[in-house]
Amino acid sequence: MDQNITKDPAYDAADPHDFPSMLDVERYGRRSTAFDKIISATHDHFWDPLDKKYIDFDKPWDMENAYLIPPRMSLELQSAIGDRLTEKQKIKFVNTGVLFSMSSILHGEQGALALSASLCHILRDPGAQEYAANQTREEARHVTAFSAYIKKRWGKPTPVGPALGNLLVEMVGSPYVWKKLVGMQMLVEGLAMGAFATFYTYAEDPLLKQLCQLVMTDEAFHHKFGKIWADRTIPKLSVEERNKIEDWAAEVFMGLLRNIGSPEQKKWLYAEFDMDWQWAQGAMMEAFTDAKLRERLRDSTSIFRVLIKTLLKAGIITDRTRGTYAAYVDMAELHSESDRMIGDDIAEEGIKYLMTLNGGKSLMTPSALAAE
Amino acid sequence: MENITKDPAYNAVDPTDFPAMLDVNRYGERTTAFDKIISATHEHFWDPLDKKYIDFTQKFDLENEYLINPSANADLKTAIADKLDEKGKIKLVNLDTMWALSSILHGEQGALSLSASLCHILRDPGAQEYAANQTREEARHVTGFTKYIQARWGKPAQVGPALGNLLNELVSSPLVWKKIIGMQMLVEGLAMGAFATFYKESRDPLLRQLMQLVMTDEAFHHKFGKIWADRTIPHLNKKEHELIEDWAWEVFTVLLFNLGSPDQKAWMYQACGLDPVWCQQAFMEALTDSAIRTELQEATNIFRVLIKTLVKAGIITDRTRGNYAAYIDMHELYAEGDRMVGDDIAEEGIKYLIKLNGGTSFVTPSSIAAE
Repeated sequence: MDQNITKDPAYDAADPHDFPSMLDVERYGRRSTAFDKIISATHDHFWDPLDKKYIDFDKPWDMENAYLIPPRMSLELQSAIGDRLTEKQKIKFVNTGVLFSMSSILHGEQGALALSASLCHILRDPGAQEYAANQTREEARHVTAFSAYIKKRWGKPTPVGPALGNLLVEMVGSPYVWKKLVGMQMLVEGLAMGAFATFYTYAEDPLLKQLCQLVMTDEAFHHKFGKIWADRTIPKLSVEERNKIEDWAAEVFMGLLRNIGSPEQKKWLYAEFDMDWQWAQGAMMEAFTDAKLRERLRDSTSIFRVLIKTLLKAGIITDRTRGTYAAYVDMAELHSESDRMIGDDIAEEGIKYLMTLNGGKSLMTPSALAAE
Repeated sequence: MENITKDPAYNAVDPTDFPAMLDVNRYGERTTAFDKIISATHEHFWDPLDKKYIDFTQKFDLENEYLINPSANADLKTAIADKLDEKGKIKLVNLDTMWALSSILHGEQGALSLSASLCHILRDPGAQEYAANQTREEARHVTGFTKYIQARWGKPAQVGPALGNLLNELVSSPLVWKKIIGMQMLVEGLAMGAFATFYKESRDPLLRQLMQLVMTDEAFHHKFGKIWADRTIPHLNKKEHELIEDWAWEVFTVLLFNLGSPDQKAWMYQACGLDPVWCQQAFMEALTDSAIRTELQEATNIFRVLIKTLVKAGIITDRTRGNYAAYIDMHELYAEGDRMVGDDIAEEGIKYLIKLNGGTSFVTPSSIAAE
């Protein structure tokens, strides 16, 4: 089996150390036009985290007395953990939980930066390579922006949880296009789009809302890149190849679902509140039966719902693994939905705002762009 | 060999050590030295895929018109010219232009890969964001030169062995100093000189326009190299300085050899019905060192810009000054200001782009001081 699982020449790949193959005279002219519109659109949705015209990180927030997100959004506060905290401690607990989420997002953006740069070394198609170079630059501004937000509210981020950290290391270090695209553009970006939509919808801090919307204006295009890959690849896979991708996606999904919110990934947080993380885990398990968790996932802004929908619409989930996801989400309902994602409207509103701010004339939103 | 880091902005990690990038303390340890260059990128944006900026369908009669003034071609100053009729001369000059533009295209591809590789090793988030920005700008240069070459000849010429090996060494090196001196100062310095020459000598309006657009970006890339030099060179110990100075000379000779030596482009002479070995001899006979020196003293000569970059950065000392003096008046260079021959062309281009993009401020590389 071709390890790269290439089904469209736009995704032809070279060994990451084989720079001389990039100097092949025939390669330069073999350019796919599939990404041209996404590349050209970058100017209109430009924003700069260093420029107060776009976002001002000096906006204050009373971290001690005000929730960054409504307390009902915290799973922990709905378990016995909440019973052990005073109101002030609850505020601190919720806000520190947001710090963990923001830190995970920041580490994810750093992973996306390194991964996009690594795509520049392996994608042979000049159009795909130019797209990857563009994404590298956009991920870099996300790293800058989340660093600035975290610095303003807390000083510095928390360490990456082992589950996310290991996944990012695997994807950045992988020489395989399919693993990078399914892993980062579809799974991590899918999860991120869900998370941003959730924060945008529920955040009390206007600065956090604004940051999420600005990042979404870029992420929506990155997500589109993953979708173009899926449209051109998934229908042409052999059974063996499809199974390999499907199983890996399910494995990554389960890893993220089980670990990203798990007390084990943020032992330090419980220690700050004099709680044993294992006790906290038990309290969470007691409070959240599978049925309750499923109920939460039904919420259209649930971060995992967006991710599952991405995989489903891309054709990566078949009956083989459908049951894995059906435990958490109504798959029939997802099937019947259109391609639009919950974050699309938020991103498009942001893009329109940026176009006005940047003096743009055309309206190139991700959903308006069809791959050529 | 070590990274020779003298300023924390250039701290580096092993290219395979991604976990080092997830260090929680790293994110906040950001230099502001590159912030203005990063922010300026929006206003000097251009897109080779958008006819609003450049239209690659503009025609040129390659058979009957010189792409650049024949007086700017070195071969025609030798006995090679005597063997060609007017059409043959046009063919040679235009193929030589193709050779130079192909070398530039391969150089841009090298710069794209090198900038992406800097993203894997630069620890400082500001330096890393700058590198990511440069990666994207190099990618549009690859697109721009590919489209020009496609429009005029179909496809580029094979990279010369000397340039190909150098680019491979720079891209795969894990050392920041080698990447920055090699690419940002030497290759970019050479490129700025080449672009200025083409801008001045070209008879093809499309080529002139392409050169100016690329220069609007390259001037900022060159600035990044200058910031590194300002923060590094004065702090080098003797051994480090000699290592860098010697390597710079080595790279200079490779670049000189690639662009000037007939044996790197034998196919071109064959295409014009000439024997490459005879051409090599004619070239050697005609271009004595003093003749080359006269050539180099022209303000827009491409190697002059490169040497000036090294002089002004403090990389060239008395140890190697004599090597370069064989090609250029070093006294004159030392006495000149910091401005380069391409700066005015780039700034005029930036002003044009700011207007086209609806910008309001005017940030040029020379108006930006590292903070």
